[in-house]
Amino acid sequence: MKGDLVLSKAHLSYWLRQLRKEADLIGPLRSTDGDIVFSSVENIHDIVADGPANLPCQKEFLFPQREEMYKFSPKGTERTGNHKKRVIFGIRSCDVSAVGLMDTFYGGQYEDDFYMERRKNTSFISIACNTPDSSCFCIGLGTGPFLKEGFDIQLTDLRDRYMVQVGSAKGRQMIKGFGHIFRRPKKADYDDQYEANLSSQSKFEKRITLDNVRRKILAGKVPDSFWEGVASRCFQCGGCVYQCPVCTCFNVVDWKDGGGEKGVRMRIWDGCMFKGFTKMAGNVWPAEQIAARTKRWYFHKLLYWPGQSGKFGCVGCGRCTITCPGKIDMATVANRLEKKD
Amino acid sequence: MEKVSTICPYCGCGCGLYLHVENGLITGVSPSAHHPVNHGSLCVKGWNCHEFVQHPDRLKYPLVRKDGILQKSSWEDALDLIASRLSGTKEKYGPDAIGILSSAKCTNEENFVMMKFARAVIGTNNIDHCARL
Amino acid sequence: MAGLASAFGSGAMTNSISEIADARVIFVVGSNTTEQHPMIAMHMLEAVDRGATLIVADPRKTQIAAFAHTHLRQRSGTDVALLNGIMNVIIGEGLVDINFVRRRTENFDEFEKVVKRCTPEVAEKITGVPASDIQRVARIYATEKRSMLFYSMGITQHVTGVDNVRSCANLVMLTAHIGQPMTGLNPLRGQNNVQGACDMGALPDVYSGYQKVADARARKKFESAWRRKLPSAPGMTMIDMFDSALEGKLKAMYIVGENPVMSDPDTSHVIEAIRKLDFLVVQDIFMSETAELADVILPAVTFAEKDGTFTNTERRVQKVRRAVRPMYGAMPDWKIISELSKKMGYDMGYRAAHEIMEEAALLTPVYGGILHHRLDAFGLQWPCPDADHPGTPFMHRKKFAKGLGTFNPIEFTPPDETTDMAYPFILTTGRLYFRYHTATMCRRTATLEREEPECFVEINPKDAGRIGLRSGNFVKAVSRRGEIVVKALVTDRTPEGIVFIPFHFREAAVNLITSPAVDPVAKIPEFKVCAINLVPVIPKPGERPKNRYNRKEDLKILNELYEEPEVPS
Repeated sequence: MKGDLVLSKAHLSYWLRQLRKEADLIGPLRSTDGDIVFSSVENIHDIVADGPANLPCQKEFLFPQREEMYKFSPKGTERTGNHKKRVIFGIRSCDVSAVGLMDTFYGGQYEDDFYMERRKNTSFISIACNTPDSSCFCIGLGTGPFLKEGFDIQLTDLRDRYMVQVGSAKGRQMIKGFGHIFRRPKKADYDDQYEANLSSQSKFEKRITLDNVRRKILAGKVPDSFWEGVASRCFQCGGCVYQCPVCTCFNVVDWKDGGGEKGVRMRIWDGCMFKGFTKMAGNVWPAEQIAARTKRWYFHKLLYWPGQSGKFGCVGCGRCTITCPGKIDMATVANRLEKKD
Repeated sequence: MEKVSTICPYCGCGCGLYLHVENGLITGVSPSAHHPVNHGSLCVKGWNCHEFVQHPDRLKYPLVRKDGILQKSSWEDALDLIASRLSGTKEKYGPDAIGILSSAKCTNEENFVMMKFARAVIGTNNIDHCARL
Repeated sequence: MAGLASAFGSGAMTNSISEIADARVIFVVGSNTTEQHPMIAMHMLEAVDRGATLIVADPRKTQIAAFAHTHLRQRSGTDVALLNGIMNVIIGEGLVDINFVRRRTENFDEFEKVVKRCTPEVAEKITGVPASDIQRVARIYATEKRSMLFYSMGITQHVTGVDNVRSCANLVMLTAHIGQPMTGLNPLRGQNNVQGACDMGALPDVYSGYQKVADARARKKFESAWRRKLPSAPGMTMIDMFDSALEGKLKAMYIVGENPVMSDPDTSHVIEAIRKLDFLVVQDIFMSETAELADVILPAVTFAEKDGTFTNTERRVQKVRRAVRPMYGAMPDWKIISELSKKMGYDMGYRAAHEIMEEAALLTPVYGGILHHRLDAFGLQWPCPDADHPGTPFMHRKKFAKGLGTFNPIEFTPPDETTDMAYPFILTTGRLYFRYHTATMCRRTATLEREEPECFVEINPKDAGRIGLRSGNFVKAVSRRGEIVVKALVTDRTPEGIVFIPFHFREAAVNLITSPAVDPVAKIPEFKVCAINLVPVIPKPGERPKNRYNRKEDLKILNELYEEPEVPS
């Protein structure tokens, strides 16, 4: 592709160090407990660039679990927000695709200031995935393991070097002035990239086509009893919603202080899996049964999203597979539906 | 943005989780992926355990009851008052007229210190907590 | 824990959570696991998916019971009879592990005499569980090698709590389901560090690591380390303290992070006792119902603002790390106490939490190797006697902590309160998934508060029909001690004759009506059985039913708290 570059792995830390001068650099680091977490990078060499694919969700950087919106007092209201510039290194293709879906929701017809402000200040350097986890199924959705568009910068690991693809103005900004460390790719580089992509595709354990599932639901072949069976295993933890890089629901809460005349208004993650999410005045609980709620979550992702934007509300990241204590995650349920007559 | 590894404050499962800290405030929670108990899952309480920490209802300073009403006090004055009242009770009625309730929500270290306080400083074995509830 | 200690010599989950998924039989008695220990229920569900048999004994049809292959719905308070019935079958059909009983246990003959009398048919009469179910469960549990037994407050919160636990221990020893992975007797502890608080000796009769205060050698060790003469007679339990305060003997109390007004049975009794005290100090993170009665309130910090360790229900000591600076003007509890001791002429001299653990490790054999620098990456499970020990995933491998395991012969005794014409329902109390204990924390969490905003009483459709009650109607629950008004929730989760009320709600504090009867040994209150009557009430238009605890004066104090924080020097 025109504009592609090659970066030697030896120069990665230099490049990131320069980027860190302008922005808060966030990358996958190993925690004291051995998990990979996304944190501000102190020492560039701590970054785990070739770690497992099941990384934590990047959603919190654009849409934090708890975000202060306004401070209020008798003197007036003050809007709080986050203007910090950020470069997030090391997210995978599925999450880049998820950011695209979030953009259509929060930046679509009704623009969400708080989201857009963070979005504007955040650039992503993503890595084309060559180590898919057993829970991953992006390949069936076209949201990974590598992308043709939608990224700021996409790196493909070619053992001693990276193929660097630039996909946006933010991406171009990040390589500007670094001509001395990037070079133009040669045929051998493209050959290696092709190899890498092929080998990545062969490593997927899960092959799920959500299209089949959608058709089955639309054809009325999935009875409510199926969803009741699914719901019987629901722990109501909300993990599927909290971990989903595409779920956007929040609740607005006021915390009052000083006898109630001042305080903060904030939003916190909420989830359609909770009974109280659709609670209405007069003590009406439209989705009091768990089955109604689980069904709604799946319908939203499998039917309503495609109806509105032509894309599934799922990027196949497999996080619900890992987090769901009852094992009623998207992959499992879709698999069961696919096999069902 | 920092991730601090810690343990859920709710039930006895002891799930591992990360608190997300930004500018000195907690902004979120995520489960520990390899923890032997929770394996990347959390229950609804764990997922929301960051919220009460920063709630404005938190007690902010010591309160001392004067003329029947609780009034704001400094740490120094409050601790002086407690020390003199407990010492007074101990002298007048003996150490066993004092009872201490420690907490199943405090750390091991704090429970150890509470026990030491009851036994070595006050001189009573009247120490208990709500294990039974 | 007294029950376990008398059988095995130590009280804690004998095995580990990570073993559950590989078990073949999981027997859950009196635990609403999916709601109260969801992450443990997750492992149980995984075991079931892998083909394990799940047996649940609980009067209520809980979510975990819905997954059970066999659900035993015994009458509240008849657990001993149920377990004796099961053991009767095991002995009668020769399923006892004789080798184990001979080598590792004592007092079998006495025990056998008692169990012999409790045939499945006798047990059926007492518990209401069909004899055939009892036989089946006995066979399944005894014949499979990898059988794990779990219990929780459904077993302990009875006047016969210790008996119940001992019966569980008997069952485990009878079938030798102990000292091996994927076996054992596993109490699920309710609060995050209730195990640790016990381990660290916040109990009237033991120092840390369950060393008896009455034991001269243990006392001498602590006396020489702390350089103070220590009392030798065991102290009072919480419930004794309140009784003693009522008699005017206990004069002052120091309560840390507890809310006995809400959590203890018979609320009015506790309030009266506290009012009689000369001096009460409460140390907490939020204003609680108990703190409102205090003379001095000290602001403590939450788990996110301090370093330290919690011990979970599988004895895993794990590090809690400070994420943010103490909010407002609060201080960690250990710091407050050491400041106070200094003022009382005893300088503890701690500068950080790990220094305290160092001292605890020195004085506590089972925590000997528990040092902060060893606890990264998921902690260590005690017993961990020295700094090289890798921790103990399952206990009692070669021998019990006390040597031989003891069979305790236990006869069934009925609960303290029985139903009669005036009080025809058995009330059992418990917790909800979205709530935690006295709700001071989750009340300040928007999602949790929203899900279960109101107290309710769960009642079987047949009972509800009999007294003319529908879901959403107000009903007055009356016991011999008091009354509260709650909304009815008609559901077949609760069997006929039994009703369930969660205890988290201040607006309808169920402990106004619960029974003050306690287990004579462990002093655990009988929260699970109390006789009540239900009377439907119709509130006047525009009026919501009130109960005795919503006192205006307390709310006035609360309002005065919302002021500018003071930054301490």
